Amino acid sequence: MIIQSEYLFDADRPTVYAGLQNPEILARALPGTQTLEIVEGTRYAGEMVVSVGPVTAARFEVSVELTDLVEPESFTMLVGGKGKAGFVDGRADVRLEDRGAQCLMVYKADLGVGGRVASVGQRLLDSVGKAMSQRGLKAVDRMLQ
Amino acid sequence: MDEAQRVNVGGSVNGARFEREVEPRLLLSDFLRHDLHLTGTHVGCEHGVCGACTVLVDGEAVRSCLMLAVQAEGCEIITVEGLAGDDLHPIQAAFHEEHGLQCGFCTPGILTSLLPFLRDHPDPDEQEIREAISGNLCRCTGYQNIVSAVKLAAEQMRK
Amino acid sequence: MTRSSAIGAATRRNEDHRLLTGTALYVDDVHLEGMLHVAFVRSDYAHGLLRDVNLSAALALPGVIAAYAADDLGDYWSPGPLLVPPPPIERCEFRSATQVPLAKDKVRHVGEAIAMIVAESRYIAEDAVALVEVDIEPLPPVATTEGALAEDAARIHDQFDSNQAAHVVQEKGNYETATANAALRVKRRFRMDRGASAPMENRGIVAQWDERCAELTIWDTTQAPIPIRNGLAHMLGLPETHVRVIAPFIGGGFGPKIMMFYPEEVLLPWAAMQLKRPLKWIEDRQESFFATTQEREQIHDAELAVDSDGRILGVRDSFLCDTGAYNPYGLTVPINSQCTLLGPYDVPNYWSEFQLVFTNKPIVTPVRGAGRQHGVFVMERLLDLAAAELGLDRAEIRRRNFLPPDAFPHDHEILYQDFAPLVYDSGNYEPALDKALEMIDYDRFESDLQPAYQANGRTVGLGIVSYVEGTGVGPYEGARVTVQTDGRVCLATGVGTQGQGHFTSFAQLVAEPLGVSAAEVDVITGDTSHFNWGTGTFASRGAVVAGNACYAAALAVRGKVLATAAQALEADESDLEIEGGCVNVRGEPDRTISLGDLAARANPLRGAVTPGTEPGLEATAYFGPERGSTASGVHAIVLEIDRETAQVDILRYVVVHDCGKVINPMIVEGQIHGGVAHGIGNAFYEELVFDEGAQLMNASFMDYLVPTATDVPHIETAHITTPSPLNPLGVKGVGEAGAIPVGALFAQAIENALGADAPEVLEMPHSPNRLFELLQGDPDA
Repeated sequence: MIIQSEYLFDADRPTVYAGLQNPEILARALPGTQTLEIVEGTRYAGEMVVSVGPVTAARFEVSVELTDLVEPESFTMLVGGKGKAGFVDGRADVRLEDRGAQCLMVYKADLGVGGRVASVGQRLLDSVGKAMSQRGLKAVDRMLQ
Repeated sequence: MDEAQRVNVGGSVNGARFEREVEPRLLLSDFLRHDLHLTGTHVGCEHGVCGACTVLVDGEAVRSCLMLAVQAEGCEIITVEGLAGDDLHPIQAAFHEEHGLQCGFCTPGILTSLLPFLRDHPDPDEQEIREAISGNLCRCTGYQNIVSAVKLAAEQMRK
Repeated sequence: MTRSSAIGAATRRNEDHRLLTGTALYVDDVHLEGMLHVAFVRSDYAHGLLRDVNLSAALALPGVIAAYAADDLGDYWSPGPLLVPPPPIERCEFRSATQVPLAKDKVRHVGEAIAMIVAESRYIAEDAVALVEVDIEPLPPVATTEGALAEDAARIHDQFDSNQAAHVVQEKGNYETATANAALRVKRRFRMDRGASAPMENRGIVAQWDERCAELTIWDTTQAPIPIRNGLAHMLGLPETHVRVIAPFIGGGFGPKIMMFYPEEVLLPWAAMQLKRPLKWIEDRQESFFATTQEREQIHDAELAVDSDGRILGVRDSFLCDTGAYNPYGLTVPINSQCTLLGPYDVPNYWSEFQLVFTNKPIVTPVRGAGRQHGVFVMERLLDLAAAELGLDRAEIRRRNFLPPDAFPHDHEILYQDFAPLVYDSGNYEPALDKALEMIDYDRFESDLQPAYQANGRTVGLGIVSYVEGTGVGPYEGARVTVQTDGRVCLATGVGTQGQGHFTSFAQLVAEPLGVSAAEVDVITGDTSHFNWGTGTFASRGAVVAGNACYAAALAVRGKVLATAAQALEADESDLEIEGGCVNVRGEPDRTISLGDLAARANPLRGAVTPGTEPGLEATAYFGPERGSTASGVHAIVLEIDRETAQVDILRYVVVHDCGKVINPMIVEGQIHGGVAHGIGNAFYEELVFDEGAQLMNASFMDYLVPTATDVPHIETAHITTPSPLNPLGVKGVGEAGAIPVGALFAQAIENALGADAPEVLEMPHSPNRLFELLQGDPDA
């Protein structure tokens, strides 16, 4: 599943870039993330709770890693999650651009899911994926204010 | 599961009283089949789509896989085992006459779904019948002979 | 009311009473003292290295009795047998990789079993499943049939150098030279996608080990109880006579329930012996979408060459067939496709090649139709395209190419799935076409009816297609008929029943020669303790193979009845008649004796008998046909397309079918109705949708759409009777026929509805989504 979109932050580019490395803020970008803590550098771990269609409140142990960091322009985010309802495996390429005092985030995420969350939830996930990512970024935006 | 978490449920099935201690999460379908050994009620999908597990709860058709046993507290339940007296119920007899069943797995749920339908629609047309059983999946019959059987049953029951 | 139960009468079914009152026994109804329940840990990944399975947390859960991963099975762990080896085709390369009881080292499809949990209840077993920690290192999945053969595709079975499971070529005549001067060639790519068999009853097994008697009893939702018994006895080191397999009432089979051995089938009996407790496993619906076999993914590149009159010069077809992660069923499905493509037509030259490929998807084995729909789809679509190019009527191009009634037996010069040459036994195709044209009002449709619909803004099209179905293949079945002292007749046969009415049609075959009613015949099927020779219910063969065995056994008993009665009545056998459960001397109503009294006489407690006499009125007979018999038919449809919702509404559906002599027309029609409904699902509603990770996305009845009563129309049927010369009853099979031509029929009718400029329909299923794209003018549609 590929989610490709953009989001205009009400903050400047360095603020957005730095903010996204703060686990508390990063957690908001990933809807359903309950906890996220730094493991080492830009590697994080935590817990996510996902409800998609008939899969309700499925808990995933989630790991996030930011790589290919080019401050304050771009990075790649690798997300892995595993739980009783299956697994999530994703990669997002993120680019930040100046838009005056604002910052435009352009992102392309390739998300794979498996197990129960795929077999009974994925078709719903496909349709709500983009909306969910935008909702997450809106929450990040509010935290950056 | 802890014994302390078991709860009492009492009601009647096919006119006979029952009183049991069950886990709160026990489905009514599993309770009927495995605790009360009324195995005529079948389970085809466990998510309320196929209709095989339909039983009557206080006269209305209910999917017993979508209901917990504890929710049946104080209810009167009728299963397929409760339809026939000395003779087959007219709906059962019509299914036999019109070859409205093949493997028979979906049949109990269809029969029980039809009881309230024919009570409320004593003279249904084909479209009404098809809509009435559209919540019951059957892989064997192509539904045609089921429709014929319902027509015949309605006719017999009007007499 | 008494009703005829003669062969050919619409006798009402013996089995109905139990089924209608909820007293029939299905596998999940078996309840045994001390029974434990099983649930399986299954792979979330389509392809990966299985690094570790940690069962300790699951084992610690109260109520969990045992848990097993592959390594816990010791020497018992072994891949399943190759069920159907390839037929002796000259140009055939074949590689076999069969399913394993529990995944070891590697997982090869989502839902593959990894560990087995045994607990006091199913609820606890499922709780424990969630506690098993499975470490899988993902490998790139092979998610598509075409992708399987890509240079860089991951290899699913390390012992092979590619994912090719087979490469087969069958040829008749010489396509290239014979078609060099063809007036027209039409060539297209055709795609068919996966579907589920979706019987209403999921699979299940109960196993009970009686240590003191050293007897193992298994209740199994199988279509093949006898081979299951023999195989399990071998695997478990038990005498065959000490293993009893019971296939009680089965809630629909449709093919996948004859697959053997499913992992659960191997594991439960073994674990029941280990634990000395009865075990039960019942598949849940979501599991069934992964753990039960599926079918239908193929891609054909096919070319038809015709002369200027539309006569077929030859067909050339090259196709890919997906076998999923393993191929225990060998080449049955693609050979069915290859052979059935020829249809009822005279095809003088045929070149057909296929490659069977492994993918990281659930295993493929036959599902009702078993590859035949693919062949029919390709041929019928090619004929439609050729007719359009030549300006020829679509019924006419079929008529011109039918094998004439005097062409039988007709040798197609290739091998069929039963290892015998593809030789049609008998057929008479034109009357069926004429009858269907008449019933669907073909002559008036294009001239009057369709323009009238158009004038009212309605989009309505007609389709008409022909097909054949190879049925009733060997090797053999058997039956034992016994007259009891109460005058009732007992019939035991090996083939199990999944709703086909065997308790009635077989009873009719026995009742007629013995002068009783079908209701007086007690039929036992699918219990190895009652009859233990036979293969199973598959390939529309029950009526043909087991039916003829039942009939032969009844005739043998009839001989014993007459001989015994001749002695008792002091009459000549030729003067006797059997009627109403009694043997009478013709014209002398006082000289009569009941079958029950004869049975008692034939089994005396004291006194001398003639040396060489067998006791009782009992006989066992077997029947094995030389090869399968070929049934045929024509389906016609009128359907309406809603251009806004992309839904179709079937206005008329006509089936004209020829399955030779009919034993019970009511049951035959029921089989056709059900087959058509299944075919409608495969043609329009049902598709197993996998993502690029080979993850199935619609594993529930909410998303996988089995047709409902409002999707299936009233079906009008008519019969043509062309008896088979290959068996004494002259019958042919009918179980799969209804499902076979429906995809081709939908495609033609949709094109016809949308008019001459409409894009071609070259795939099935043709879902509402695809129809919507087509209506939007999608160039790829």
